[in-house]
Amino acid sequence: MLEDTLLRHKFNRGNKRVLPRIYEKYKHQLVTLATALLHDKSKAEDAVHDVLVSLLEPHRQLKINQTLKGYLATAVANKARTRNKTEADHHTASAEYIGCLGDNCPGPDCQAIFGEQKRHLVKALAQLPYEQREAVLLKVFSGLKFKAIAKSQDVSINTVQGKYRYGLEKLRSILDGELE
Amino acid sequence: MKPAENNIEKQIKNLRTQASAELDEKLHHKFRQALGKEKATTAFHQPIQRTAILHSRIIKLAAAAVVIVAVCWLAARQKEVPQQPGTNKAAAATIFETPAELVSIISLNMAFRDGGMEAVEEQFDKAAKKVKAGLNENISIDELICELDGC
Repeated sequence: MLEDTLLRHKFNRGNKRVLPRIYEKYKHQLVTLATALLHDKSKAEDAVHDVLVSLLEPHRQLKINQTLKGYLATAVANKARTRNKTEADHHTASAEYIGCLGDNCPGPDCQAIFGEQKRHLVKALAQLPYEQREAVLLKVFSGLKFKAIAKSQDVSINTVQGKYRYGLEKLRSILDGELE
Repeated sequence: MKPAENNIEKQIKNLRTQASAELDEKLHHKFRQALGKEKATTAFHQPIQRTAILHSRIIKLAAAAVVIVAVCWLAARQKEVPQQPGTNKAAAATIFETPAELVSIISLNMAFRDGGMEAVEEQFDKAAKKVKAGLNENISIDELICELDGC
């Protein structure tokens, strides 16, 4: 936590040399979040890449006012949302992603996230509407507050709370249905 | 919170995937490129430093304090300048162009203190005789003074 504060302070002062450390610290979390949102690991990595590269721009004087983890999660979620909107073939990608959940998972990364215990959960997550999935992941996985999520999505806190609640209920019903 | 929801949240928190080596390589390459460029071109540093100074409240206060102290010090120094003995030294430097001149003025001053104007004239005569001895025997003291003063 103290390291985060120091990294954020240095970054806000224009020291871009902290970016490799920030990336090393949060790369797995960011890629996991983006993968869970986009259902495609290569697209997820592209989103994380774009976010980190945008932070490198020398003429761009960014100031991080929230937690470093929260800022990066919001940035990745925004990037993923943009990609999700612009790419018409995300349903196909989603199908490929769910196919990847099977036993013939193509790589160790895929197996790590989509291990037996989590297969059902990830499959259920993939069935959620994008907004609900984003609200659930940002709240639970990234630990963001409803206020921060609402601000990033430009909606009211009640809307985000509703999406989160509906998302969790739907997840539970999907998982219960699968287990029965 | 319901136990089932709690369990789902726990599972979501435990989701984990690894960033690929390809992404690592790509980003580290970008970092090296960008940070190397930043180091090479100091023009990037200047606005960053300027904004850092402008954004930091402590640095702003410190800068203001330094400016105030400097102004006060300069004002105090300005008042002290006429009273300083250094100005007399400067005046002396303009009067005595050579060490010989300084020595002769000191010796004349001492002679005046010892015996008044008569002693000064006596010393002047002695000096003139010394000079005359080294030059033409026929030249008078008045002519010598005239020549030295450029009449």
